[in-house]
This record gives sequence, structure tokens and C-alpha cells, in this order.
Amino acid sequence: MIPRLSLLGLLRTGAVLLAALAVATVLPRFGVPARFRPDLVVLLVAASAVVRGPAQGALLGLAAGWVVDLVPPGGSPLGLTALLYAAAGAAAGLFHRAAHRSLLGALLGLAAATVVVELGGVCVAILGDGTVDLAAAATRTLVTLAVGLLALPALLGVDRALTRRRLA
Amino acid sequence: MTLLARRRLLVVLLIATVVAVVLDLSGSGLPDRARSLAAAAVGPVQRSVAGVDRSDGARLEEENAVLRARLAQAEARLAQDDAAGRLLASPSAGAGHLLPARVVATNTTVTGGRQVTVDIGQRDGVEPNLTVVAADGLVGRVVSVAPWSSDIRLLDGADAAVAVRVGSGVLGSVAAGPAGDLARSPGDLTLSLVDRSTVAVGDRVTTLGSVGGRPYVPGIVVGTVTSVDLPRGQLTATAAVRPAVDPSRLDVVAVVLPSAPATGTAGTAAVKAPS
Repeated sequence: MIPRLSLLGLLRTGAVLLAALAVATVLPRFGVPARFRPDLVVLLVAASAVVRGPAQGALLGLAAGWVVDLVPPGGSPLGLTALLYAAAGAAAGLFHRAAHRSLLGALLGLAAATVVVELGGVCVAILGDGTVDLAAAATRTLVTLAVGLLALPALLGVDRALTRRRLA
Repeated sequence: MTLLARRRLLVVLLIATVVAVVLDLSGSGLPDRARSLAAAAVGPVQRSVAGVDRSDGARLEEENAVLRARLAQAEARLAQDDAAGRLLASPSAGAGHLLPARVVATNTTVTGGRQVTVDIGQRDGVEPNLTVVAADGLVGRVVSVAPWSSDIRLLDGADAAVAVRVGSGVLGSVAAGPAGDLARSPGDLTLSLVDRSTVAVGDRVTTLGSVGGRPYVPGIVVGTVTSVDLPRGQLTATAAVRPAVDPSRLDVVAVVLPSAPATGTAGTAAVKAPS
């Protein structure tokens, strides 16, 4: 039951932790408004999920979501973001085969993951009687996809190279 | 790890996460303890990653923000020229120490929650339910405190409501979100009056203050009335309020610490020297 800790696993966890810190801490300091902030955490989760498939994607998404939930100011209720990111990781993992063929497949996986997260957020807002900002959700999705278009090739390359060196 | 073991691990962790969500929703103290542990662990990292400047210039900026906040507070108190205003603006009201702080993180989750984290905490004397102000007016209140950081709920939070005084003495409350089906420009708050008086566009909205100054001390500017809603059959009037502080551009804020009444320090601008 206990997962074997591999160097690759540690690297991925570290990257997710850094992304969560960066999204919450560094980006606002550059004056980036919330709606234009790319979701770097979902980008990392999706990049790994499209290489490894839904089960691993969901696991990494769950871990990443827990980090986001726990790094202050954090999410409320605790664990909801984790569940959302797990679903996003699983969704991106479904594009496993397509991603092997082309970058477009990986981008579709990222799009699926982002849409799952934003739709989940809208559902939570509706259920929690909050204000729903569909325009902001759409803008964030597009910004995340744009950043993914630039970053995904590098992320996929690093992930595949590490796997090839049997670090996993 | 085999595929089966991985699936099993995933299922176990998912169940654990669902349990955590249910525990938090049911008000158990366990998730809060997990939060404060995480905040204590990540706090120092966050403070250093945020690159909070400890130079002379940054200190002057903090002092400036604190002094401007005090000035705004004093002006708001002067503006209340009615008897009730004078009574409430007694020397003890709103005369706490202002402890400057920097925003080190803002919420990014799509599920909402706490909104802003600042770089002072338990070690600096911050407690839950203290007022947080910026140079231009009210920011929100402290909701939880960790050793190195505190979380702040802003005025546009789902369950934030502030008792306020409008103009010369009309009482009401300000909360986030639209009143019924009215359209509001993003970021605007809704003012609801408690009696059948009227307000005008341009009226200044200040805090009424809570018992013991928690969570809100009196006389802090909340914003100005930008439009008065047409009556829609309700008993009392509602209006849109543009907050004095733009929550997306928060940097230097100050936590209003309760002043010790015995030492008679009320009224002195205590600017904490950054350690």
C-alpha cells in the first residue's frame, strides 16, 4: 500500500509545491489580477497525467490539491480542491494515447483538466450561494491554455527524459 | 507499484479526502488544526518567497500607510457631527495600535475560502477577530492566526457583513453580493438600511463598530454610495457601495490591535519597528 518514493515522484511533488506557492504568493506581487492568473498547478498535474494515464493523474492531482488546500490562505472546505484536482488529473489522463501522438493531444488533456477545475468552481459557487463569474472562469481557462501551449513541450520533454533514465 | 496497488491507494486517499471535506463542513476542529500546522510550516517560506522588503524605504512605506489610516480614521470621526457620532467617537473608540503588515499570499482556489494571508501572526500579538485596515479604509477582519502569518477575510467574502453608519448618522449594514436580482458592477457591496431613512449618492459609509471593537472598530471608512436602488417593494432602501479599498491591489495593511486601557496609550500612533 505504501507508495515507493522515487526521485521522479519527489521531483513532481516539489514542482507542484513550488507551483502552488508561486500561484498564491509570487504572481499577485506582480500585480496580476486574479482572472488573468494561469493555474500553474493544473498545468503541472495535466502535463504529468497525459504521460502516465488517469490513475496516476488522479493521484498527483489529489496530492497537488492538498498542497493548494493547505498552503495559506488555502481552500475551504479542506479537501474540496484536492477532489477537484484529482478529477482534473483523471480527465487529463484520458488523453494519454492522444498525447503520445501529438502535442495537440496533450493540449486537449490540459484543456479537459482546466475545464473540470473551472466547472467545479462554478458548481461550488452555485451550491454555496456565491457569485458566479463565468467570464473570469473562461478567461482563466484561456490564459492557462496559452501558458500550457508554451510550457507543455518542455514539461513533457523533461518528464519523458526522466522516465527514460529510469528514475521512476 | 502495480496498477492494482495504485488504484487501491487512490481509492483510499479519495475516501480520506471526502472524509476531510465532510469533517470541515460539519465544523470539526480537526481540519483547522491541519490548517494551522500547515500555516506554521509554510509561513516562513511564504514570507521569504513573497520577498517582503525590510529596507528603510519599505519601513517608511509601512509607516506612511499606518499614519494615513489613522488620519482617515480621525477625519471620519470629525465628519460625524451628530450627537450619536460624537458619543461613539469617544477617545477610546478606534484608538488601537496599528500594526503594519504585508500581504504575502492571496487565495487562488476556485472553491473560495479565506482570501488573503499577511506576514504577521501570533508572535506579533495578532488575534482572531481584529480589524484590518489599509491607508484608504477598511480591509476586513482576521479570521485565523498562525505563528508567522494570519488569514484575513475581506469585505467581499460570502459571510462578511459590517454594521455601518451612512453620512451623518443613518444606520445600516454592508455585505457582499447583489440585493435580489439587481445588477452590481463587480466589486461593489450592497448597503441595506435598518430603518426607513434615505441615503444619497456620494454619502460616506463608515463602520459603526462592534462591542469591544471586535471584529470592527468604529469610524473606519468602508466606501461611498455610488447608486441608490429603486424601491422594489421592500421596507427599507438598499444602495450600491464602492469600497474605499480595492481588494485586488492590497499590499501594506495594518491590524488594529486592542489598546491596553490601563496604560492609557489610547491615541498614540504606535508604529511597530520591523524586527
